[in-house]
Order: sequence, then C-alpha cells, then structure tokens
Amino acid sequence: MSGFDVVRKDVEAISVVYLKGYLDAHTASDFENALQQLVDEERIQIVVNLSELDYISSAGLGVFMGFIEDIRVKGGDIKLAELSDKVFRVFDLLGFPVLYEIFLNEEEAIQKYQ
Amino acid sequence: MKKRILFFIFPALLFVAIFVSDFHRVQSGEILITPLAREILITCSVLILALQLIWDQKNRQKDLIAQMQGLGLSIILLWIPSFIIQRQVYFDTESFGLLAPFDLFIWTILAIAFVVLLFRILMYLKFMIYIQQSRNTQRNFHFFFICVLLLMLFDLNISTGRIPEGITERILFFGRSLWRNILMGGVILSALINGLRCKWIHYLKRGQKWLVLILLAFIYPFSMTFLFALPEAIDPYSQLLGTFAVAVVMFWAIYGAMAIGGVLVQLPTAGLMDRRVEEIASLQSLSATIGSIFDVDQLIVKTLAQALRVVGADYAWLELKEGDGFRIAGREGIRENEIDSLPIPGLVPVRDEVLQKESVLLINNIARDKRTEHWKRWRKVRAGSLLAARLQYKDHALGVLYAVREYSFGFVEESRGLFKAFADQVAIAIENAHLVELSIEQEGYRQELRLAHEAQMRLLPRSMPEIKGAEVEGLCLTANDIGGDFYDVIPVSSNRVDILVGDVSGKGASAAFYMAELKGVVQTLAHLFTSPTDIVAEVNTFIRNQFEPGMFVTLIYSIYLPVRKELQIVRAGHLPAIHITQDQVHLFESAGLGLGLVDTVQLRESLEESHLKLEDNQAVVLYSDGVIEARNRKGEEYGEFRFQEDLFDVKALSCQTMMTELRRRFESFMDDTPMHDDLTMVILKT
Repeated sequence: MSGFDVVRKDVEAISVVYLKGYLDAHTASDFENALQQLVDEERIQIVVNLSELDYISSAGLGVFMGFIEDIRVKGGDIKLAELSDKVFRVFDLLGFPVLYEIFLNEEEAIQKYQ
Repeated sequence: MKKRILFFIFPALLFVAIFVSDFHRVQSGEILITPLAREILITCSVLILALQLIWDQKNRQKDLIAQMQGLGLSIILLWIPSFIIQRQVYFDTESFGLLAPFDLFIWTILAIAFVVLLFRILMYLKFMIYIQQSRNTQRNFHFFFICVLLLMLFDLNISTGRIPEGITERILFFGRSLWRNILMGGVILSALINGLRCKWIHYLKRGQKWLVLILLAFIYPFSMTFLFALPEAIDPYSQLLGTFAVAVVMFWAIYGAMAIGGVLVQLPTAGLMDRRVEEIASLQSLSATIGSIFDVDQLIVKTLAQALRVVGADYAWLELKEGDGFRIAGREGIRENEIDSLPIPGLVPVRDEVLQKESVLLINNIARDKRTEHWKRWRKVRAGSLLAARLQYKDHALGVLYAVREYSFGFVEESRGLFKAFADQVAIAIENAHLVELSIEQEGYRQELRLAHEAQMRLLPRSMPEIKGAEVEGLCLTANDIGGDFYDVIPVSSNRVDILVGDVSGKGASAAFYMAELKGVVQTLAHLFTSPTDIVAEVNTFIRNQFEPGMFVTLIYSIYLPVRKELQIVRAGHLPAIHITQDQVHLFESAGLGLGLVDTVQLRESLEESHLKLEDNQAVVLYSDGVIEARNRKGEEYGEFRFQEDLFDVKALSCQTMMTELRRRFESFMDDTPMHDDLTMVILKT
C-alpha cells in the first residue's frame, strides 16, 4: 500500500496543501492535523492541490467536511485544485462540486482569493 | 533380581570350595588346589562381588553427604575385624598349620569382609572423585586400577615362588624388585593425581564443610591407626588380596589427606561461595517473578525483597521516573517517611550520576563521600554504604534502584555487577508489566470491536423477504472487524420493498455505531414516507442534527413496487445503481449530494429521483465502493468495468446463484489479498 504525504506551501496569506498518495481511514489524521494547524495559525485561505493524490476514501472526504463549516464561518475557504479524473469522480459522486470550488490548476485557485 | 542372587551365590560357592580345600590342607597337609589356582579363584570371586558393589552404587541416590556417611561407616566396620585380628595372630604362611577349623572359618570370612569393605571405600572415593568430572577424571581413576592390577599380577609371580621376597618388604611399600617399585610408584602417583579431584567440596554449604572437616579429622587418623596393619593380616590368606589391600589403603591415605587439606583451604571462602549461590538463586527467582507478575506495584514489592537478598542490603527502595520528577514506587525495610526525611538535595547527586554516567554506583562510605555529604544530616536512619543502579530499558531510563547497608564497606565489589544485572532484570520486568497492561487494554478493545462486529452483522437483514415476481439477495463482507457499510431490505407492505445501500464516512467503531443508529431511523422513515426522496431528505435532517460535524453518509435508496414492477431510486452521493438488461448495462447516474453535507433544503434541490420499469429477467445492483476499489496483490483494481462485465456475464442466473458466482469471481480476482474496505452489494432480480 502506497503511503501518504502532506506538504504545505504558504503564498502570502494563502496556504497551499499538497496531498500525495492514499488518503484513507489510516492516513486521514495526517491531513486532519495539517488542516488543524492552519486553522490554529488563522491561515484560513486554503488551496488543496490534489494532483498527486491517488485515492481518497470516505474518511478522507470527511476531513474536508470536518473543517469547511468552521473555516467558512471565520471568512476563509478551502478550494480544490488539479484533481485527477479518478479523484474528481469520487468528489463528483458525493456532490462536492456543489460544496467546493474546484479549479483546473493551482494558480487559478490562488487568484480567486486575490 | 534372579541375576543378582546368582552374583552372590557364585562367589559364595567358590569361597566354600576354597574353604574346603584349606580345611583339607589344615587337616591332612595335602594340597588340593595349587596356590596359583587358589589365588586366581579368590581374586575371581572377589571381583564378582566387586561388580555387584559397583552395580549397587550406580543405583543408589547420589547424595554427597550420604556417601560421606557410607565412607565413615565402612571405615568403622573395617576396624572391627582388624581389632579381632590384632588380638589373635593367625600368621603361618607356609602351611596354615596349627589352625583350628573354626579359626580357619573366621579367617576366611574376615579376609572376604576386609576386601569387600575396602572395595566399598574405593567406590565411595570414586563417587567423590567423579563429581563434576572432566574427560581426564575417568582416565586417572582407571590408571589407578591398572596399576593395582599390574601390581597384583606381579605379586602373583611371587606367590608362585619365583621371586622370593620378605612379607614385610612386599606388603609395606618398596622392596628390592625394581619393577615392583615402579608399579608401586604408579599406584602412589595415580592416588596423588586423583587426590586433586576434590570438586565435591564446592558443593558443600558452609555448615556442611565444617561437618565434613570434623568427620574427616576423626575418621582419618583413626583409620590410619589400623589400616596399615590390614594388608599384613590379609596377605597370609591371599597374597593377591593383600596387594589389593595395600593399594587401597595407600589410595585412601593419600586422598583422605588431600581432602582434609582441600576442605581446610576452602573453609575461609565458604561463606562467599554460599553467597554466590544465594545471588544466583535470587536472580533466578526474579526471572520466575517476571514471568508470573504483571501488576507493576506487586512486581516492585517482590523485586525489592529480592534486592535485599541479592546484595545483602538492610533496606532498599525504587524510584520511577514520572513526568519530569521521580516517585518512590516501592521500598523494603524502610518507611516512606524515613526516605522522605533525607535532606532534600540528598539523593540528587547520586541519581544524576547513575542516570547520566555510571549505570551502577557503589559508595563504600557514605559519610566520607562528596556525593552523599547531605546524608550526614539524615538522622532517622543509619546509612553506611550505598549501591544505586539505573533501571534501563533499551535506551531510556525508567528509574533508579537503591540499596543501603547500615555500615560502611557493607557491599563487596562484586556486588556492583550483580546489582546491575539485577536492575536490568527489574527494568525488563517493569517494562514487561507495562506492556502486558497495555495489551490487556488492547485485548479489551479488540473484544469490543468483535462485539461491535457481531452487533453489526446482526443488523443486516437475516432473511430476504418474498417478493412477487422478483428475488432479492444481499452480501456484506467487512474488511476490518467493523466498517461503515450497510444495506437493508425492508418489506414495508406486500406491495412495497425498500432496498438501500449506504456507507457512513469515518473509520472503525464510531462509523459502525452511527450506522446502527441510521438503520433504525431508516426503518422507521420507510414506514412513514412513500417517496424515496422524502426518506433520504429526512435521513439528512437526522444526520445534521445527530451526527458529529464532518461525518457524512452516502446512500442509495430504492423502493420496488412489485405490482407495477417499478423501481424508484434516489442516489445521495453514493455510487450509481447498475441496471442490467438482456443486452446492456446501464448506470443510474442521477445527481444527489451525500447526506450530512448540506442542510436539507439544499439537499432536496440536488436530489434527482428516477423511476424505472423492470421487465422480466432484468437486474438492478446496488453496491458500495469497496467492490470496485478492491485491489489484489498485484495492485490491480477490480474496477467498474470488470464488475459490469461480470454482472453482464451472470445476468441469466437466478438471483442467488448470481450472487454466489459474483462472489466467486471477486474472490478469485483478489486471490486472498486482505481487503482494505468493506464490500456490500444487493441484487434485485425480476
């Protein structure tokens, strides 16, 4: 089973989170911690880059849902960028495109904040 | 047993024969058996008896003290005949003349008794020599025997009269014959070599050593007073036995002297040896304790009691690391308030040194040592010398073990290593106990999971309802003990069956409990509402109100109306249902958000309900992502297409065999790879 990795990059007020590998019940907590840290630092303009994400399970999707309301109440947002077809299909099935702004590339998502 | 009796009867008969011949000779002066034959016969019968003795000893319990007692007893028994012999002198080598028949009889008996007892003594000595034997031990002892046998053969020559030699010269050590002197030297040399084998002394405890010394101090000089006279007494009866007696007496004289010397030399260190034995025993009993006690507090109590034994301390205590500080986890021989009465900086230098530098510290004189200078003001208890050891497991220190004697120089230097070994054992024991406690907790958790899994499995429908003109079949395989997948088939009325498959997000137990809750809610809603959209919307309301934020549920809900042969279906974030007809596979990719993501109004807007007329021999499959996302060992995904192909292949089968065949195909694809996600599937077949 491939691993999972979270890398974060700050671009001015915006933080970009890169997810890599398998995001499932076992690795969801890593992602959760990364988001929690951003919220703690009050960096709530977040772009999640999913270009290198191979798989996302319902537990992984749950992480997005666990933070979105809190972040939006504070005036921030989570925007998604560079989803592979497969990952997009999972998001799509669940109806995420209604809930989240999804961008073809990272720059567009960052620009949307500015 | 019969054999043993033979071993007695045969030599006894031989002796009777010899006695008869001797008797005849005494009476008439006629010689029935030649002296050579007579000697050989006597030697043979004695040898047979000796074999019996060896056999006897092999079967006896090997207790050193019992053997020593046997030795002493044999010597005392020897004294009795020699006492008799000294009273009455039977000397007349040439003709046995002047002997009354009764005297001859006594003489024969005594000679046999002498030899048997001497042989016994030799056997007892052999037992002692053989204790903790090395490869050379047996060889040395056999060397002695060979020397004795050669000596006897040599003397057999004499008895045939070829080399005349005076009795006294022949019996007592050295005579004129060079070869005989060399052989005698061999006997003495082998006795000396064997005399060095005194390992049995090590096995005696201090008290036993004293006992043995006293015993030897009496027996040995006592035996010397008469033993050397024995050969002279036996010799007239049989020269060979006389020679044998000389050798054995010589052997005993040398070995006994050396044994006394050995015990004397080892007496001063006897206490130390006992201590070593005690130390090893206590380490062993600690190991046993480790294996049997898993309660940390109880373990500490036991180990401290043993710590006192191991190094002979007056009191001991144990500090365990707790957070940044240390806590006295146990004590023995000292009260807690007594430890606490130590001036506050008192332990710190010792503790620091043990934790950071030496893993074990010995302070011989507490009053004079810089590290323990505060202890002078420790009024409540006496403290003379100290041992402290780090309790270390792998590379982290668990705490410090202290042992104190009331007097200075109370511990020997060797105790340092021992105390360290002991502390290592204690550290392992404590760590072990912690691990066991942890695993017991985990076992409890596993047990919970198993119960939850059972509960979850009970939540799945046990039997499928009868549906007019259709069949339904469900399957749920869980990856771990419990998962978030569920399905239900609810016979609402004779004209309505609700079929649903859902997946609660999240992992493990919580997902399973939410699932259980959800099942009850859905069952109720099914009876209250007639449209799948309404039911799904109500489920959303429930999830929004009851579930923790971030949790969501994907659900596909369908209502089958057998009379109309109609299926109403709503997809809420779940994988689309598959419709299989005779010539195609179709997906119900209607829109619909997952439940719990948005409020019910918004959800309703997203939902799209579809209605489908099912004709004969068609099937609808509801399933979870575990089916299509399963990967085998090669990393291949089972995948949507493979699943749809397989479904199309089996479409003609009955509902139940369809399910069986699909499962078989899935399992052969997975080839025993452990599943990563739950797998749930329901088939409705018309």
